[in-house]
Amino acid sequence: MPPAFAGKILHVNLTTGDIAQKPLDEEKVLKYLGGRGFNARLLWELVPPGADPLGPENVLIFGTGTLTGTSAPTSGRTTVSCKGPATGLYLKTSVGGHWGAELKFAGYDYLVIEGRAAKPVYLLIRDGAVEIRDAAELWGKDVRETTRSIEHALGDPDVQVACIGPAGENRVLFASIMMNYYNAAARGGVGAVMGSKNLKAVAVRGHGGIRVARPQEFRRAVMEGIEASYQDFSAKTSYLYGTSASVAVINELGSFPSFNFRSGRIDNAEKISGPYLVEAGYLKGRMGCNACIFSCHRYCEIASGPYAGAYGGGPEYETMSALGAGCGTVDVELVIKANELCNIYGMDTISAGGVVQWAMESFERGVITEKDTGGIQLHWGKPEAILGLLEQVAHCRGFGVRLAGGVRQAAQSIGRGSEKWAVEAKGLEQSRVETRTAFGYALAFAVNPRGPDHLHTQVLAEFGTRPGGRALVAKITGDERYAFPRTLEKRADIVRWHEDCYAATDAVGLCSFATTARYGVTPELLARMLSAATGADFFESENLLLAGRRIMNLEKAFNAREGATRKDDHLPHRLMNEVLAQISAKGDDRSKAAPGRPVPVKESINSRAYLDCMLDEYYELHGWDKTTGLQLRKTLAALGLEDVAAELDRAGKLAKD
Amino acid sequence: MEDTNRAITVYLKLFTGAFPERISLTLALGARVRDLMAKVERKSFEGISRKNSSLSLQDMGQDDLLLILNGRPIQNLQGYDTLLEDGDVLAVFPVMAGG
Repeated sequence: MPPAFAGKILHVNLTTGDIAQKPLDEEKVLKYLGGRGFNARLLWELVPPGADPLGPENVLIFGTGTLTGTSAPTSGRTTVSCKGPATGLYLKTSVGGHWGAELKFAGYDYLVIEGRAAKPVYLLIRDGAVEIRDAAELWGKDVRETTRSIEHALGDPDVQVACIGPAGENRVLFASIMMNYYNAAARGGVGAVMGSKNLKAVAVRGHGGIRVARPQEFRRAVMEGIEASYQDFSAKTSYLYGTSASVAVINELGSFPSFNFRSGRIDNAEKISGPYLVEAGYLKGRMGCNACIFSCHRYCEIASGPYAGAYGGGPEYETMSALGAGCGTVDVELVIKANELCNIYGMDTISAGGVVQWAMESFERGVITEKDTGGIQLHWGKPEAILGLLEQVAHCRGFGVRLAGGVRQAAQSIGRGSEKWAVEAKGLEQSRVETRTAFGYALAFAVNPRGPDHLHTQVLAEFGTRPGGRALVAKITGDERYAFPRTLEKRADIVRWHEDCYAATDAVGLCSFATTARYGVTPELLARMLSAATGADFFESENLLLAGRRIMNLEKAFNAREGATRKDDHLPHRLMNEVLAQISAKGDDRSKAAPGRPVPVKESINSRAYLDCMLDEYYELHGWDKTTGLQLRKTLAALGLEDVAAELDRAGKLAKD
Repeated sequence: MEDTNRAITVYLKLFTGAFPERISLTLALGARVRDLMAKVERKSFEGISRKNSSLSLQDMGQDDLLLILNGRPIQNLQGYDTLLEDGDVLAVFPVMAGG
């Protein structure tokens, strides 16, 4: 068993029932750092171009980070990858909790699911032994019932269960895979892919361990990372208030997506914030993922009132916006209840909120009526509307059938101009970041291979609100004054650095809260941890970031092979064509002397012109063709991806050098 | 005593808990953000502590605070040197990250 690894890849073909253990090629894995990176390589090799995402030819890969299962701070992440059913393009989703570490303790670094079972099954992995079990009794159960049933059947409350709920079974295109009740591999419909394979759950239990090559050196690097992370005061607020700590801040900035992105503010946003969960007594516990040092995850309960008994993990910041302000409500109990429904039915709260608010706006505009909705009045903030639609979507009943394919499909089906307020790009509902007020984020979202989303490239540093972010921007651009979100300049440089770092973070299995949201674990430190853990001495910050870029280019190549080009790198129609309302312009003339021309507040829009300006620089920086957005052979060759270039060339998807 | 003919009123929203404490302050014309922060009374951020006690505003370093003036982080303006105007609203939060 090589250091830091369990040493095996588990292949399960559900069509044939074949189970195969393959030894891990350590050198090949480390070329992509592991986790998300090696998943991307497997996906490239295993999924044929044009494959139906919900067909048996798609694969579902669970990849642990190279440091997952060790004491590296925040190293509890696992990446789930497949061809995405919402976009028809590359999809990876990162999930926390303890499942990934357990998989390694059970003897496997990667689990690759191929084919489709003839009937519902679940997979049991116990200390190297693997069984495909009948899941007829589990099919139809929600996430809680499924997890409890497996725990009970095995007589083991510590078994780690990844499963789908009814939404995944019904192939809702934003169905999630839930790990041990509360941790969600949520975005893009990974749960629908699992459902399409008739795979209800993967239960894992292991009693092994992971050894590192140089324990003393590794421990020193780990302690350094922990201490540096705690120097940032936001580590404290993260523990106290969770991710929804920032609701009031972002509302104050006029950037809290409300009413289906029509507004950046909602009155009384404080009522759906992390501090309010604490003060009003809803918060019952704080939880951390494996080896977490922040414990940002929440556990909330409602004791009385119409939703008495509702409980669950979260709600997170994204959920507070998606199922709260976005749907026109600051009723925190309603959000807790809606969040509970999403968690037990196995649905991504961001996209679930996205379809509900799209439907609400369509109802307000008269594009859909009670006749369409089966009598539900879809008024903003109305509990029956929010909860009723979530029930219908998860079970694919009534009007929920229209929404189960996401807002793009819903708008295409309803028409009548509703595409204009379908806040999606590439087929994915935008996560709850107001990109019209932060142009680095706008670029990052537009080029994200999985769609407009924050969990691929976080560029918090561009706000310049913290010294670590300003220092980082100075390092990237040579001038800390570029730590300013209302300019188009240097956004490409800032985004590309963060892409590299985020990919490396995902691949080694760390949480971005340690690297690109806080700056305690620098690429230099990450490289030292990786070297000490694996014994591979070639890691230093520069080639760690370069490996991140290799991952990013491979993901981009996957999309190119599927036919994606520059025309796919855009943002939702609303954000590109409507100026954000309700932003105070006062103070514009007091803006600091940012290099270049700051974008005035009254121009809070991701216009085509703004986006094109940033895209040109971004493609050029990457060494991609500006006109088509396709990659050049020399760019891929410089990253050691010659074989990828050759395949793209054969498919006519490589730019001319 | 301040010359009220040459004074401005600035509104402070101190997010010491879930809901802001709202305070209006009169400052001399030409006052900057740092002048305002110096005038703020000793306030505690409930629930936030370094060593099992509430943390007061004065105990927190500039890097521990997030100041938003009229919807803009002060770092995007002129930082603590930003000139204040009559009617400005300054929101003060403990620093946060991630979402």
